[in-house]
Amino acid sequence: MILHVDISRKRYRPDGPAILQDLRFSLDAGEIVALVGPSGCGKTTLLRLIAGLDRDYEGELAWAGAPRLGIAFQEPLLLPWRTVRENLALVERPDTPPGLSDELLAALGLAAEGNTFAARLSLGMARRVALARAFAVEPTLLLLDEPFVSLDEATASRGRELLLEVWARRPTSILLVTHDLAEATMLADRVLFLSGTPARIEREAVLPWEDRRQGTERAAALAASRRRTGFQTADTRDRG
Amino acid sequence: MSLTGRDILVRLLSILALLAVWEVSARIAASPLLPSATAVLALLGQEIAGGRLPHEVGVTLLRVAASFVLAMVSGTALGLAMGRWRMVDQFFDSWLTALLNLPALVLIVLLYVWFGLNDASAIAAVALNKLPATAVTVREGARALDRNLLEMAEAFQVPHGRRLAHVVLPQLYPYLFAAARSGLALIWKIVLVVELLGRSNGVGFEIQLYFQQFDVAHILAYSLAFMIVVQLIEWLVLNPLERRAVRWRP
Repeated sequence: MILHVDISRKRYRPDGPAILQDLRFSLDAGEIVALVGPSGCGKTTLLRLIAGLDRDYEGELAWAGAPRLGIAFQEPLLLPWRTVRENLALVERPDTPPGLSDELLAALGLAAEGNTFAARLSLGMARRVALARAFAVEPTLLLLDEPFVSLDEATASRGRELLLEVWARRPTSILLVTHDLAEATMLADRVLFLSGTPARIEREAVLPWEDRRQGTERAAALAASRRRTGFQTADTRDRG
Repeated sequence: MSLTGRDILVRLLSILALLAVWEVSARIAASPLLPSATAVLALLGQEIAGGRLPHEVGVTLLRVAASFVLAMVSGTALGLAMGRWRMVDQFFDSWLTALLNLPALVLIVLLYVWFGLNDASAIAAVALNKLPATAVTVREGARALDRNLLEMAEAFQVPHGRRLAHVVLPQLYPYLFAAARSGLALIWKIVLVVELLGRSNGVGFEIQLYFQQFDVAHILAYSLAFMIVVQLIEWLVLNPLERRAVRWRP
């Protein structure tokens, strides 16, 4: 286990409504967990807490060792005035192996863009650079917030495949926030369903081993069948 | 911005017209108190060849450079801190207002009285005159910093020096260039006053000497030399730096 999340309550104002309540789950090393839920239910709030960007909450985040985070959010948040390679160099640590950025850029199909200013990239490319940057810190946990939203389907699914390729090469835990069940099914080992106000984990589904990461079509079919049955199968535990 | 041949022609014509107006009025006035453009330009060439004018201009430029760097660095640091932290802003705001409203002359005289007629007082006086304006400009820039990029750097635990160099300063460049331009224009003028009041060399000191002799030709030659130098700094240093800073824009 690398992280245990135990958030009893998160509010934005002391007298305001709770956004998150009684939220508990753990992440194991090398595991991909998807958080699925309707937009506005508090998924991004949760990611910001875990990323350490918001420390105003009741509860505890228990890390095994010092956390090393890579993040790729909806907005790629690259430095537009720096080149692709300089954007990766920004987050490098003293112990980063020298060839890592080039290896990641090549793996994500960006080998030719190393010297391009980030301001000149298309959204799809900028997202891939953001992924490369997130892997460049050799994170213990990668936080992804809708990393492929508002891309055309072909670009998005190519992005997912590349993500899995890089992850297979440089395994790390990933917490992925998405509203797209098919995306969650394609990428994750486990899916946590977040809903309600305040948001809590309604259900947790472990994807069958033989169905994991078997490509877009199989994932879409699985997601469709799960949507019909409401995930009420043997691998589903009600969390109430 | 690239200049076409026509742009350059118009600018050249405008300078020539100014020189022509000067030349004609000088000839009509026919007084040693208004020497003609040709006479001043000839004198300028003579003084450059003699070596005295380049030396005095160099001395003044060193003072300009020292007070410029001092004002820009401390003003930027103060402005950044004020833009980022409310407490710092509230604390120093009245200090800035006081400095902004204090006449340059009073500041110069006070520093000379308290710390002696030396270069340290002179440079400090000029820097203090420019500091509040720089701080106010940079504070605006610091308030407009992109929060999301700062959070990204925070989440990735980017070291502070790298954050300043790659995340913060590039966003401040437009404000820094604005401060540098107006700073250069203001500082060299105040340096002349400082030299006139309490230094025994530099362009300001020379102008005071020639003022006592009512030698308008020398006064104009010295000011012309300095105007040209400052304009060259704008063209050869500030403009290329600014082009470099914005070259990433698509």
